[in-house]
Amino acid sequence: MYRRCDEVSDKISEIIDREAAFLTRFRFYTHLMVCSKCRDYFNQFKLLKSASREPNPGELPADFDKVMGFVMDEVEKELDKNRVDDTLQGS
Amino acid sequence: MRVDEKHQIMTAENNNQIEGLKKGVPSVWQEVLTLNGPGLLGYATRMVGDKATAEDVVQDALVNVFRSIEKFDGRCTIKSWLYRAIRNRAIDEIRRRKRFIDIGDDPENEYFEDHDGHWREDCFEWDGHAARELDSKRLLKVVHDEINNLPHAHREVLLMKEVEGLDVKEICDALEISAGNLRIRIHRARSVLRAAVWQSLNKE
Ligand SMILES: [Zn+2]
Repeated sequence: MYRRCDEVSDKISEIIDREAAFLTRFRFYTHLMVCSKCRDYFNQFKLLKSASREPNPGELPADFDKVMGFVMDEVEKELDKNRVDDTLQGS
Repeated sequence: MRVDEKHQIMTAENNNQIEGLKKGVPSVWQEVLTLNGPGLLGYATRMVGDKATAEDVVQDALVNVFRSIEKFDGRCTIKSWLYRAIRNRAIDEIRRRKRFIDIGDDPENEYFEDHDGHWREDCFEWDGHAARELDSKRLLKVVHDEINNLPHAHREVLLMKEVEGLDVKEICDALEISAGNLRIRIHRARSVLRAAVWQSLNKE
């Protein structure tokens, strides 16, 4: 197991993102069994991760339809230009 | 390796789509924008901090992508390409409006004793106050408020990884960094976020 708490804290993100190798996981979790501070710290990271993934309750989304309308207008405009070019080239 | 394989398959499936984008087929553009647009706009909103600016940023960036789509070389997914475009445009805006904050120190530097790497006695409160807030709506709000207050370099990785749920390869391609570098940046961003959230919860 890891002996140092700073080693454990370095590995937390790998662990919660499920990117850690078996040996790392093993050494990590055996340390947590004997160290309550690292356990708390780890749980705080897990909590933050799941909270970050929830939508923000106080936030309304920006107006995507407006942006989409604008961009598609530009797409169409540009294509109209190209269409004229195609006709001129006789294709 | 599994991630790479998945991406190869995705890239193959996307070949027709990329062809369509390059030829400027409106229905293909519509499809790609409808699929990725809301995520891109959410990302931009939280990068620049207000909706109106975010709408301009996304509009500009997407029109720009449309005009320069022939530069897309297929070495990443179109999704990463779009995020990269929005991100670069958002950072211009952040710099212009001086919302640019230096990433600051690593909070974990102060937590551990040098000699044995154990927790310092006085490092932070363990009174369980934060734990009592676990399920509350308020915690959610504090977390999101503090994400929005992070220096942009921390904010952008957390927005891509947690909020928009991009995978490692997609984020690395969007930010043009290695997987090892991303892992360090994510951990650092989470440490800074954790410190900010706990400070904010313990203030009240
Ligand atoms: Zn420990």
